[in-house]
Amino acid sequence: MIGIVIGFIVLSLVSGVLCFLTTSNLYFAIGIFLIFILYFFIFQYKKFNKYYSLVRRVHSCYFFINSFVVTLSVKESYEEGFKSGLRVQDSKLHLYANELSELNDYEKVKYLRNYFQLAIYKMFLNVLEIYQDQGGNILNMSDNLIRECTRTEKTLIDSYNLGIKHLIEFIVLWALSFGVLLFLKFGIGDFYNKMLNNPIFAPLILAFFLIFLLSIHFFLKSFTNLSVKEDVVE
Amino acid sequence: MKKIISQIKRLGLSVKKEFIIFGIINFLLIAGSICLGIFEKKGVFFAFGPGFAVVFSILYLSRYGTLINKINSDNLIEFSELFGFFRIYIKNGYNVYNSLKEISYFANEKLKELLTKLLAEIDSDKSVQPFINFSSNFDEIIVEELMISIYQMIDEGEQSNYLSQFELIFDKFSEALTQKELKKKDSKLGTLSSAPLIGSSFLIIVITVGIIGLIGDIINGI
Repeated sequence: MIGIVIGFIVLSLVSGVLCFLTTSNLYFAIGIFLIFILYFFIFQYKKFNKYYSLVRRVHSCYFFINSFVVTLSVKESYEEGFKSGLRVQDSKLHLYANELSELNDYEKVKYLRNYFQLAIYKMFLNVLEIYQDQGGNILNMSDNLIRECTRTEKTLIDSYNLGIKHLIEFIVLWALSFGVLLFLKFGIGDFYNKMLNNPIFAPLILAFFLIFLLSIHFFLKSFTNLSVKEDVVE
Repeated sequence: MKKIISQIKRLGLSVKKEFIIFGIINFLLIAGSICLGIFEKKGVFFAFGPGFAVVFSILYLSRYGTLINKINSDNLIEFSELFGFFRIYIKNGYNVYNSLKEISYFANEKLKELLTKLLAEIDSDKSVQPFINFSSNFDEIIVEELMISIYQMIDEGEQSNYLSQFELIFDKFSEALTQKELKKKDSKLGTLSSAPLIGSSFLIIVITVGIIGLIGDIINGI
């Protein structure tokens, strides 16, 4: 998340500097910088936080359920299953699990529902409850559950890869557009400065930056759009 | 017009209210451009209002179809997720009725309502009809196939061959839906990643305006 915040700040600064270079107007440049930075922190920060939290929880949940079920079927111990599930690289999950040290292992697994807050985890707890009450082969009992988990995980990864592929296209094409603008400014500087004397020219350049921001908004909206069923924990 | 009215009704919106909003915004756009034309004493501003009104009308009226498609697509995704859970319950010894009851816990408002209705209908009608009625709320024909295979499970017992049949159809449906959604996202992101082209086109207009301004200055200078 820190990387994203730094990215937001850098992009706002670069936009401000580019605006100053292309309009030669400090007020426009400061305006663009403020619009970008406020937009990112008011609209995108919370959204990105939610997106990354959801992605992290889905990955951890997928790993936890898989490892837990396999270990439980082999060692028939909740403790071993829980330990095995926690091998996932998720510091927030580890912190949360540490807070549950006074509970027994079955209760710990149940309490993790508050961390994951995913419908699939609630489903996993239902299967575990049936296993606890009636016994049976946990691997066999949860094969459909694991299939669902795998499907969700695979969709998430595919969706993320698609997003990254198009993000690269998006960045390259915008860089080229700004490249054209910078070429005009520095390649044919005298001509460009004369155009800047036209009172409508600088506001139109400003509008170009706003189109840039608008396209970022729609792109990020689509990028962070995920359909993962979450659980309502009362 | 009939199509738009039926779309508004399908979305549960008030036709009267929608048309009043539509009329007011169009009126404001046209009246605004007339005022601007009179104030600035430039004829070109008179054309802005109707131009913006046409663009606004197209966007405003086409959003009902888009909304309906989105709701249908969201319902299908919800159905796919819920019936993924349904088969987990069936596999673990729940009967069809209880499994349907259990999955309604995870459902959104719309699907919860449909599932409650389905359960009430099953109570009074033991035929396949409640399942057909339920599937009629979805656009995909495969949902009907799935619901019929669930009904056959009741008839033949949950651990019958019909469970395998359900699983087979469900896997096919689920995979197709996932691919469709990914394709949709791909196409949407593809369109959005070409947004810089709109930026470039706008830049060309800006440069043209700049050049025309310069030519104007040169002519005036002469």
